[in-house]
Amino acid sequence: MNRFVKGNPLFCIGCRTCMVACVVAHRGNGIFTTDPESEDFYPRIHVVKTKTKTMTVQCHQCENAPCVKVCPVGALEKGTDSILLHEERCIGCKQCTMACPFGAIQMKSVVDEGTVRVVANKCDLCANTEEGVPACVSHCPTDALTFYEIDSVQNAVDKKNLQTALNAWAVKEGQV
Amino acid sequence: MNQFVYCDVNLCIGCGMCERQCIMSHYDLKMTEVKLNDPLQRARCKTYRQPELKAAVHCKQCDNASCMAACPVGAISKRDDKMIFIDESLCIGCRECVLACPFGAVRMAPVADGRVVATKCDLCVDTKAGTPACVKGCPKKALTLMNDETLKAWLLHKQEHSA
Repeated sequence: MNRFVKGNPLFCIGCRTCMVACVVAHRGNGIFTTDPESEDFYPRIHVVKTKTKTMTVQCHQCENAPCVKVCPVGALEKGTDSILLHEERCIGCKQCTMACPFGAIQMKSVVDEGTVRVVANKCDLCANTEEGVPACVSHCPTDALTFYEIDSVQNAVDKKNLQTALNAWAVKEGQV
Repeated sequence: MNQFVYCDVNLCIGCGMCERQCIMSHYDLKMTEVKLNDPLQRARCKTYRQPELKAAVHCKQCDNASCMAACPVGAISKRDDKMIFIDESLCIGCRECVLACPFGAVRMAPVADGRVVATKCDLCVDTKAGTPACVKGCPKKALTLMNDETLKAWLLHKQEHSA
């Protein structure tokens, strides 16, 4: 099963540190030494604020990802434990952006040997960064982001399932 | 009100027959063909047999289901006005329902065509028998399909007992 990052709206304070961490991890240089007018800001994680809550939106690395289905050139493909986006193959058709039910894929401008290309941009679990682990998760000040590794979902489900059984058992007649 | 399978823990012995019946019913297998460790043979319920815990956990077919609310593509919906149903052909495998279910009743599992989809108890709605196999197959009659009628009877029994 794929690994993925997920936010918890109960802990998210909407500070957007995750968005900055994402950009810095992928770019590699200090954000405070960069002229804000010189570069564009393309995080792969987005903080959404509504009247009642703040929450992150990022790629869910879906098992049967609709973005993979609609990509006409195979730039999006299922990897061993995530959904891979090969930017060099991307033709900028934007269908993945339209297909994603979460709005987690957006388009960005990249400069490729002097020419500007518009390609898709989505969470890659920081696979191609120096740290190699999701920067948003490690930099979130409230631990609102969790990196679900291979067995994490199964463990979370097993825990809840067991608790359900224990709760039912607790009201067995003849017991407290 | 949605129908659902209820496990009476006073009667349950944690034998796991319900899991086997579930597999036999959904895949049209004989008891001897059931392999509990085959990921393609998915039981939709889970049993516990420990010294101090004997129970089966099924999807509760919640009337305001968290899984249904969490699904971004509408793969989970109320069916036949009596249950919450996952349409596996629409499932994109995003796992939102799995994480949303407070009972851990929804699980991801592989299907024959190589996809990985969310699965949960479907009251055997698309099987030959059309009614929950686990309920019929429980050796202790610990499982009941709760509908308006059976729930009423169950409540009445409890109320009379406590009066």
